[in-house]
Amino acid sequence: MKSIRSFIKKHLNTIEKIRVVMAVIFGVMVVVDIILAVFLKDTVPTFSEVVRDNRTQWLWLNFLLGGLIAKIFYNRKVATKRKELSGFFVVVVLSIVLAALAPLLPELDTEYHFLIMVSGGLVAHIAWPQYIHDDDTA
Amino acid sequence: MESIFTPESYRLVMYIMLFFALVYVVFEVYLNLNELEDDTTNIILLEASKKQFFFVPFALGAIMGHLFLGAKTNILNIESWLAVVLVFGISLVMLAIGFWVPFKKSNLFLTVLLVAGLAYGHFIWSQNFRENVFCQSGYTEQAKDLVEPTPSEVGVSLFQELNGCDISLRNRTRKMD
Repeated sequence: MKSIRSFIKKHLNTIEKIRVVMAVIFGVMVVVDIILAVFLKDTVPTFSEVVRDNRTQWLWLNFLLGGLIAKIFYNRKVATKRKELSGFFVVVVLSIVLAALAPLLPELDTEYHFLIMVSGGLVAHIAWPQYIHDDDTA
Repeated sequence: MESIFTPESYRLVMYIMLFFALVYVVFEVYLNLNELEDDTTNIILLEASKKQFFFVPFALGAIMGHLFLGAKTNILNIESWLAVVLVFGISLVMLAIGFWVPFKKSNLFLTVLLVAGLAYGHFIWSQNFRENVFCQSGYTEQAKDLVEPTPSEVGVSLFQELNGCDISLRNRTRKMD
């Protein structure tokens, strides 16, 4: 399997551009949150406050972020794109189910949120592998 | 806990959050469909974490712990603004180390950072401290400090109304004395 590292070296300029776009998205989010926290603190909640005040309604986000973190750091590599795509749909469907169930649930304790987070990671690890392009099988 | 924000303001922030999520998804779909393979954000984040940007698992863990976990007792008694500054500070220090001191970042090392971030978000950068102070019946040292500036019955009732919590009668009588 071709090394990701050699791929990144080969396409360094494009990767740099992607990194810049990611940094810009994250940076703008941070700036918006700072504006909400400092200049509009009495009228508009920050991102954290929106989640804090209705944490159970954001179970899907917890599950999804748990899954995304597992996909970054604990991924399984596969050589077929289909497996990754089907895994993506599994995670999306489960997130939608959680979002639909959330209004019916009582306010959950932290332990349950931790459980949902870990479940997201486990589901992503098991069902949402990382496709790595392989010249030999492509 | 009752909120001081209107439903419209919550909706506005929710739309902003969904907008960012949508931008990220569109960007990720574009990266999946472009002519280059293996250039998705998660691959790039993993590679970056294994190089200079090893603060990424710590920062992600801290954000997750902050948003979805959160201890009720502030064991280190750290102010919330200081917790935010510390996250940025620790991340910046890690970034500087990443650039100046090259070393191998194993998966175990990244896992330790992720767990450390989660622990930070849970124990130090928790959003549950305030609920603890305002809503729990126990008369803690923190609660005492926060009740102290309440000047009158009017202030107390406004405070109660805004927070939807019951401040102990003992505190009020102590202030009125």
